[in-house]
Amino acid sequence: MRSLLVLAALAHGVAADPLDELGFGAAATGMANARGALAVGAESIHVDPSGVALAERPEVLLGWQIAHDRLEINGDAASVLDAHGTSFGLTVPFRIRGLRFGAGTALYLPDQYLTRIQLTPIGEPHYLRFESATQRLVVEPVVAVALGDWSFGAGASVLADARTRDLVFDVGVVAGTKQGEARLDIELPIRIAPLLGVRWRPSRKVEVGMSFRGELSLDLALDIVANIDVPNIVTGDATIALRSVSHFTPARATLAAAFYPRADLALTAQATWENWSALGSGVPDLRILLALDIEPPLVDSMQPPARFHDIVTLRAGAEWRTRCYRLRGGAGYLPSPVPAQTGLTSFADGDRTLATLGAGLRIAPNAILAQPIDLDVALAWHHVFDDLVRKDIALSPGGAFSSGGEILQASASATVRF
Amino acid sequence: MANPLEVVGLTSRHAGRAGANVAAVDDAAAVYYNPAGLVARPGAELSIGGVGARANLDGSGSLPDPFGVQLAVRVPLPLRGPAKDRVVIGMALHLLPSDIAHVVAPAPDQPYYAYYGDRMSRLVVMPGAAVRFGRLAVGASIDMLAGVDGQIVATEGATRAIDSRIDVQIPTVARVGAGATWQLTRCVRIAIAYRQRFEIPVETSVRTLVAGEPIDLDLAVSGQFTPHVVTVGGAWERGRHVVSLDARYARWSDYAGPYVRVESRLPLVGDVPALSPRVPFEDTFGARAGLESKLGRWTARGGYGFETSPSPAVQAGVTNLLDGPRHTFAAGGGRTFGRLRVDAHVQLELVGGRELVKEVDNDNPDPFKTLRDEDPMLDGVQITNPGFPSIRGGGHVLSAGLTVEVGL
Repeated sequence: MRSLLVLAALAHGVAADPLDELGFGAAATGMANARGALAVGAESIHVDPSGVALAERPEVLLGWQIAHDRLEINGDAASVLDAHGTSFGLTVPFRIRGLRFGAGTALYLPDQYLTRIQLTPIGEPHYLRFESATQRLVVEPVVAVALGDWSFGAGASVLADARTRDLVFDVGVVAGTKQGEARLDIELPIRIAPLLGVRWRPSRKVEVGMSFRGELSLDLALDIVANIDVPNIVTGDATIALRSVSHFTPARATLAAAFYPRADLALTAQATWENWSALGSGVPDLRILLALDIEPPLVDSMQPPARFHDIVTLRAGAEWRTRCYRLRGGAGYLPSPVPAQTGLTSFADGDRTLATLGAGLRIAPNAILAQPIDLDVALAWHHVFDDLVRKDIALSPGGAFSSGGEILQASASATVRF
Repeated sequence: MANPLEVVGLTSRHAGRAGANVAAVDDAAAVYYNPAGLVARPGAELSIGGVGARANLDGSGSLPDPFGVQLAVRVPLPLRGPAKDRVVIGMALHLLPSDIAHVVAPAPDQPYYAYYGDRMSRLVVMPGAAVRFGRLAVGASIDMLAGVDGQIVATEGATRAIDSRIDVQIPTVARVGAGATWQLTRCVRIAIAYRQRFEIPVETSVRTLVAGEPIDLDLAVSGQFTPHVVTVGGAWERGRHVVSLDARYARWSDYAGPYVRVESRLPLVGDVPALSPRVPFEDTFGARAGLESKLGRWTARGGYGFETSPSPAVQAGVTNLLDGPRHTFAAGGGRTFGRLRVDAHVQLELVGGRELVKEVDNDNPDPFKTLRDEDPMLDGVQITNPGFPSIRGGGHVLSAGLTVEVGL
């Protein structure tokens, strides 16, 4: 007797880059991440790599941040994990033939997992964008060069896929006893998205920056083959194949500006386009073909396209700085890319408003310290607008769910110069 | 410790001394060899290099991921006064061209070298720091990577379409290395270093119920295993010459083996126990010696090392672990150009020959001790184990590299 089982899963999880949500360093968090035209040195690696060439000395940024979700579905707490992790940035500026260069790397390490892939059944209401938004590693090596009033940066945002090259389970009979043995070959191949940035300072009071990051995702491909050879009982193969695309991070382009009305004050604004429409399907897709003489044959699951739409997020911030202290504030409006969920899928999401506050202390060089150290803290409050989704009566009679809530963030970081 | 850096070393300067560095290391590579060495001398530097290896081992294929890019950096904290140059941080990276990691678990009867296995196939990220108090320096580093742990649940929905729930986590794996050095005299330094056991756990649980038939597969394996390692050593440095000597102990006896452990239920077959032999791995002992001499702007170096094998010499059952004792010969040289130094090295590891002779005993249920006839109902011995009736191992691994170091 021969049995053949094919089980194929195609699933998607979507999320912005964790550092887009949390900010890279507390100075960014305190200004609603609107520092694209202001950041210099280690903190600029993520928002605009061209700022790496503008640092005066080697810098290390070390930070920790936490996001506590108070999101609800149908009035109950949604099962969204709190996110917390450590940020690390290193930049080294250097000169070659009078030109200013810089190189650096940004890392974000979630405390619990380097990456988590969570996929929920199609009809279950869940926060698709927030479930694992901050549950992944970020690695961003960059280089930059400054030419007069201009600076240019380029680098990569690095992630990894996970896939099996060989995962075979042999079931047989040895000395009359049913027995199995397995061999395994799993690899984590590298995935890369480009990072580009350009900064221009047309006058002492104005800076303009543009940056681009390509699309990135984590693809999981697990193929498990069971070769079964039990004489007089069953002989054949069983194959379990899982395919998922997780942590879909859309391509984005940012235009940022900074204005200095006074020497101690900076005002910033930033608009970012995010290409969410490139997401093919936002739902788990599982297909089974089972040739075990079972009637009726199994039915494939429905795969409606996600139909997410592109969005433009708007952020603004202000920083007041003295020789030793900094005060920061920011605000943002972040529309949702998720369309009305009247059909089979039930993605909870909503437009967001964002308000932030931050403060910083600069410890100047002294008898012990050779270079200044910046210590920064910040708080952020995201409000996800309440939404009541009523399903199409033809697809889900009487179906409905409500969503909304808050996300609270706190961040602390230190920047050390060498 | 068997990770890529153990096979090919970290930077040509240290690989060229056969890795005899626990007391002699005094640059950014100390993050790996002995973190206390980060603070051995003032200064900051960045090393970038490449290394490649080629294996010729009997009964096994070539090493996967034989090439790597290495980076090591060391900088003192910006402190003045008595704390100047006494607190140093550093980081070491070994990067593969296309992968972060590659976990291989062979079938139990596959000819395999447990020491080499998938060792070359992992990214190494190792931050570290060191502090000096007079003649004593102490340091610590962290060896970081990730495992895989998750569950896939699939059941038929009301319409016989499949509802799935997937939760796969790639948790952070971090293990500690620590070391201390003591400047005994102006010329002599002694040191001790410890590195914690490291492994990448891969666990996947698949639970499906299709047409009333359960298909469950629980897979678990520990890839990229590296045992607890303790190394003690001394270095004598006078004028243009450095002589170093290390002795090391690695606790391989804790190793459960490279094989996948599976628990399963399959349609029409039912529960299937896995064949996962328990191998009595043996703790290993080794010694390494290195020599470095400066001749103006040029430096010449060489070294030798020996280590016993972790795999048992007698394997009459299903396993074919072919590792023998290893002899390491290394040589290298370098030249300085102002703040820049270029080093190159070549290293040859000779793996001692070993013959495994199989025994057949249908009454012995232990798959490690003897083989069993696969179909006792037929005439003659029915065994497909590639090591039956005997198999021979041994060979060599050749590696070479180039490193550029610049003072910051």
